[in-house]
Amino acid sequence: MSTPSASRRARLLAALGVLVLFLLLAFLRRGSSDVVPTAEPERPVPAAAATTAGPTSGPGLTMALGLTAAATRQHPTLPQGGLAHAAADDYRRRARYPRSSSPLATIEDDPIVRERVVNPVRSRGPGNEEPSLTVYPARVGFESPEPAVVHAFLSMGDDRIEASSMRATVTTDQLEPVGELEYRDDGTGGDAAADDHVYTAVFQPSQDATARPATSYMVRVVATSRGDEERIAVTSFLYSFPDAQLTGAYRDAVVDGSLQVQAEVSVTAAGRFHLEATLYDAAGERALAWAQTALELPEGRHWMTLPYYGLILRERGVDGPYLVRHVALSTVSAMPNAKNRLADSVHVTAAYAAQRFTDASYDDPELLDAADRVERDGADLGGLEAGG
Amino acid sequence: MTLEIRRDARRTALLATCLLVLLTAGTAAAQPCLIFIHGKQTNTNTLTNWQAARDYWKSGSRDAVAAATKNFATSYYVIGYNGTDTYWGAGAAGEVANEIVNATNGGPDGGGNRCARTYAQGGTFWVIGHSMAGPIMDFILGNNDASDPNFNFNGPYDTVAARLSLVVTFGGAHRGSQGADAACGQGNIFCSFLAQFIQSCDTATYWLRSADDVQVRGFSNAPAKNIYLTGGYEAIFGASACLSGEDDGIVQHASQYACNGSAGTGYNNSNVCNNSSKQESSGFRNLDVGHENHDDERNDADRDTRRAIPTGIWNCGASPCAPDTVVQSAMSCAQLVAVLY
Repeated sequence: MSTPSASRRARLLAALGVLVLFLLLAFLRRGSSDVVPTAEPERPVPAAAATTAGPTSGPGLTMALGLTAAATRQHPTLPQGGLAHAAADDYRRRARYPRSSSPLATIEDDPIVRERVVNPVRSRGPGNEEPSLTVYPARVGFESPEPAVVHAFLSMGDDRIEASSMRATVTTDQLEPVGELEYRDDGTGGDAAADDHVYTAVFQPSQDATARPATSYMVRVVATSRGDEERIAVTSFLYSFPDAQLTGAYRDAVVDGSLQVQAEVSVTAAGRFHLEATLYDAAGERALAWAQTALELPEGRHWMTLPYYGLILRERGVDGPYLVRHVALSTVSAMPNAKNRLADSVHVTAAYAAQRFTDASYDDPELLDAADRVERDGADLGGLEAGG
Repeated sequence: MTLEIRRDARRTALLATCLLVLLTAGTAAAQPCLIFIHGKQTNTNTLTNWQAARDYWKSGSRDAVAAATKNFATSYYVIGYNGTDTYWGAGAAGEVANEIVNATNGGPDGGGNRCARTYAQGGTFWVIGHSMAGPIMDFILGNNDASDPNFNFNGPYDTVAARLSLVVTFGGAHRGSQGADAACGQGNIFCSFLAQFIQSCDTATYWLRSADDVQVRGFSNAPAKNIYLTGGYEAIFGASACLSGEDDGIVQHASQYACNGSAGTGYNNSNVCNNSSKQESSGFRNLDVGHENHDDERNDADRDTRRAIPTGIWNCGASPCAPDTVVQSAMSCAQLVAVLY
């Protein structure tokens, strides 16, 4: 049995508890969303800004948008949890593989190839008038000592037409002019075929011009048609003097449930080097995985190891041998990086069974932590109903 | 044990439960600190004078920082960097990376603003970037690992990548800008003449062109954290005639939405690249598109129609809204951010 004084004590305790709870609640809410004092005074809430008050404001949001809940039922909404849940799911999925290795779903996903696709630039006259001038380099990047080859043509619709003149100025990325080019269509000097109306010019950069391992060059082409219409278009390319070369020696092994492909490089000047390569099935028809590595290396011959994470190959379920399809070496001591020409279909691995590779997720700790954090932020964020 | 002691024990347990619920609720209500990164500049003002960086986000009484932070209810930090440097330069990517780390450590920006919680305290951080901030963040987040080509090139990219939750770009020049092409002499005299009013062909502009060899994707990998893409489709008279497809007057859709393929491909709101056709195989995600021009995106000046794009954020019923569906009648990019957290 409780005494009257005990009952009073209990009521007092309860009241105190409620007070503490309120204070605690106020404190926690402040700590979670308020800003620390800033140097900038707050201003009144702009009317429209208020309409985008956070989803945590509940029904008020819908009203602030000038819409009733019923009226907005069919209106577009944001997903439950805002960006948080979607980002968290994404990070957990990506955490299964290390940063240095990722799966390739299709050949079109091959990052080494798609970064080297040449995309011609086309320019028309004022008011989109024909003829148009199309300009492009033969490759996105060239490697010393090969010459840089650039092309250009005028066209009316799909038909290429003859130009009365086709000239260009070459500048560095510091906008210093370094050469003038005269394009030709006579089947000589780098031009593949005479009179096909695809004009060609050749430029031979010298490393002394920039004293850098690679330089981007801009080519501003001015073309005049037989009808005296002038067109201007700009293209550019990277020219590289890399400090390392692939020797052509490769070897492979399964280490800790993952495939390691090693490539030998010959370094002519110490620096930092990056190697990446894509792995295909033996027929070269299915892209499977991509891997990369980077190392500081002194002069001499060295092996660089590409780590294809085992889970990727196990999940694809394709047994070896595997084809090392595209290999890209770069000197990355400075920007822009000096890129070697691609090496293609350079090595076939041993016939490893897909089941030999690990079935363990990599569980990238940074991505898993990011997923937890971002999801925690979105924990009480309902799907925003908005519209209007 | 007496009845009173048992009652006290029950009360204590109840109180502890309430406290636990409140603590959980408090944590759940946590909000990210928003870190703002401006776009290209024609001088170094935003690096040397923080107020210039802050003003970048304002237009008269409108303020994108206020709108995105729900009138400063969420903490924020404004970065100023050298907007005339290349996106990968020490004055751009290097400065931005160092400032982001400062923000996540609880340090002040040039105006004394700090993030409410540090990374060590469990804080989360979103970058809100405009225009050139796109390739800058692509470069930083795509070079955060020792196996990446330009790992920590001129700043603590690894720390940045570890601490950021995500990035949202407004009109990001991820694939360069055809406006920059025009400024550097591409196209007809009309386009070049017009472009000179927008920007000069300086080194930063050179590296913001849409040519293949200067693309950030050629010098980085997929971003370590997601980059969410929104932008504008309101033309700027004259300038838009020099750009391919839909654009915000300076940056074409192919670049705002980090599309794979040619940076000059002409997309519209209905067919702009989806999340499977980005410049990298992962890490880029569509949000939506607003009827804003390149300036409007950054200063909250134009609260206008927003439309769905392929694989975007808006749902209509149980399914994603069909591309080009109007999803809002009066919302700016900054206001969109405010409803995403």
